[in-house]
Amino acid sequence: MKQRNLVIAVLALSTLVSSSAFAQRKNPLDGQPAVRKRVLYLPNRVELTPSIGMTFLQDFKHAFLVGAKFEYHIPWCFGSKTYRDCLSVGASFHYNAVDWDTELMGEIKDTLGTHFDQPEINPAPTKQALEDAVSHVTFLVTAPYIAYTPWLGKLSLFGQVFFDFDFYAMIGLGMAYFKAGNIGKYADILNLDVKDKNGGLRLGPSFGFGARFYILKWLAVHIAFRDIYLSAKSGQGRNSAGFDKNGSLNQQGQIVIDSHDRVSENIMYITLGVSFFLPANAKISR
Amino acid sequence: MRKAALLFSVSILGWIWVESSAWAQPAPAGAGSPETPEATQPVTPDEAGPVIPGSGPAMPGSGPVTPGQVGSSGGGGTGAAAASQGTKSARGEKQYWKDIKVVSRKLILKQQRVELFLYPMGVTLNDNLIRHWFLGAELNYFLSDAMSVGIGGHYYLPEITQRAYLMGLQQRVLPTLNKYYFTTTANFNYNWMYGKFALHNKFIQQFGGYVGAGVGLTMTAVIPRRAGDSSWNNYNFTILFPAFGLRMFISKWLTLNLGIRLYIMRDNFEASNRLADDDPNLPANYNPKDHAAHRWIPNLVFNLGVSFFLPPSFKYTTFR
Repeated sequence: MKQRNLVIAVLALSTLVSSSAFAQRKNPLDGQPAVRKRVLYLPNRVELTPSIGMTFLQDFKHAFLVGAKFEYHIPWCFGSKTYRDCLSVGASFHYNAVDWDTELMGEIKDTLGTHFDQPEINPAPTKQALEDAVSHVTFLVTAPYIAYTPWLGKLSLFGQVFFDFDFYAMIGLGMAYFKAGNIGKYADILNLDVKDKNGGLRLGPSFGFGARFYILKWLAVHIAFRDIYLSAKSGQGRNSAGFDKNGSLNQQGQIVIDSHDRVSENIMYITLGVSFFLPANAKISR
Repeated sequence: MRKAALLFSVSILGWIWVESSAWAQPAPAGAGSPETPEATQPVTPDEAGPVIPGSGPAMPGSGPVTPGQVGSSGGGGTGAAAASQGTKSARGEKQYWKDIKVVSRKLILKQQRVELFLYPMGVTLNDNLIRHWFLGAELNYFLSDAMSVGIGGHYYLPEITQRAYLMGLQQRVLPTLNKYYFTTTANFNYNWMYGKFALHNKFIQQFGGYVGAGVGLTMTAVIPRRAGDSSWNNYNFTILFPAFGLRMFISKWLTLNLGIRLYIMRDNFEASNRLADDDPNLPANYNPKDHAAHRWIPNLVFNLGVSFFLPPSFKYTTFR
């Protein structure tokens, strides 16, 4: 009887000890970062990215862009101790190296003549007048801007090639400089009163996103999308066609081309570049 | 006395068993991770397959894992792997965790499952004159975890852009436009990319990328330049190539999808010299469709939606 009581006591004691130990044990992953020993590609580093790009969804002219961006990655992310990669400030500049007709522009040209034909009855422009009227992008700038990089990760291609990558979104001030069209030289023929030269600098908000695929600690392939929004309401729109939009006439019966003919526009472009990081050596997280 | 010793031994063994069971509880891959406990269950070297020293990096759940890969620099390891190095206790937890290699499993295995992809938002991207919004669905069957076949389609809602109106005023040109009604295709998709990322280094999210191709049909209708003229419908053989998509894995049966696709078709447009329907010289047997202008159209679209995988659950199998 005594032996049985002893065994029961030992069993009860062992169960009690194990359950209390289990209750006291904490999840060892609580508060731990999702990834350790990762390369700190961004904090407190400078990124310089020469790139090429092109505009898209433009009405008349596509632009092939050449430029660069400069970015400093601030080693701070809202007080987080395990992730200090998320904020950066920078500037980018892209110059229109060459532009070419959009498909729409080509189709319009196909329907137009090479000479004016009774313009007082049919004030259609000629191919050359159309070409002269449109404005061209000279350069595009986003500066200053702030970028937010909340995501970092790794991916495999076909299960064979592996990259670290991150993904960011940016917002800032956008600037677009346009070379004015010259419809003025057809003013007499087309009975125009050209008051807006349709060129110069326009300002607007800029936003975009991008991804970096790291090849080395100091080298990454960089893909980005940018949009500069030019609002006609704030006088920053563009009359990309260079013609009248609203049928306004002056007292002499001439068609007036002025700032009211501007329309809001999104200047969207994508860039592909190579990011160089300085200092070249990146730290490893704990 | 022997009985007592035997019972005592059994009780001790029982205590050890209870202890080891408690230790074996699966741990989440990270605080607040959206992954399910099953999906993030630590995989020991035995489960993960043979250890191959010097082999290339292993993908999550893809089998072979070398001891040095977990928690190594560059790719990083999961939090559980990290804990193997950092957690100390009087019981020697550090030693215990050190022996555990962790590879987070794929959240979704798709093989032999059906995917219902609903995209309530899509838009055409490359036409300055007429924009089409669309909504649609796709049904895919996964032959393996990487390959799927399916059928899908979407219905378009046309929107004439401001540029189309301005062309008449500014360049004195009336645009020739067709509106789209629907596109339906039979597709083949291949998942070529798999990855994961961490949000603020806290929440791990997995994703996959795929490419696809297909053939099908698009119904379009002519928008007459003269409002009074008749329209007609076209049924165009359509090629889908390429399609690029991305799936963000939310749960075992749910993903968030986005994609870009290029549909190519040969469409029939109103001819530039079409005779008006009320033209007094219109021949009796004149059919404007017979005089249509043919043209190849690249229709680039973007779509966004969610996928439901059926059956909603699956048995996890480790690839070797």
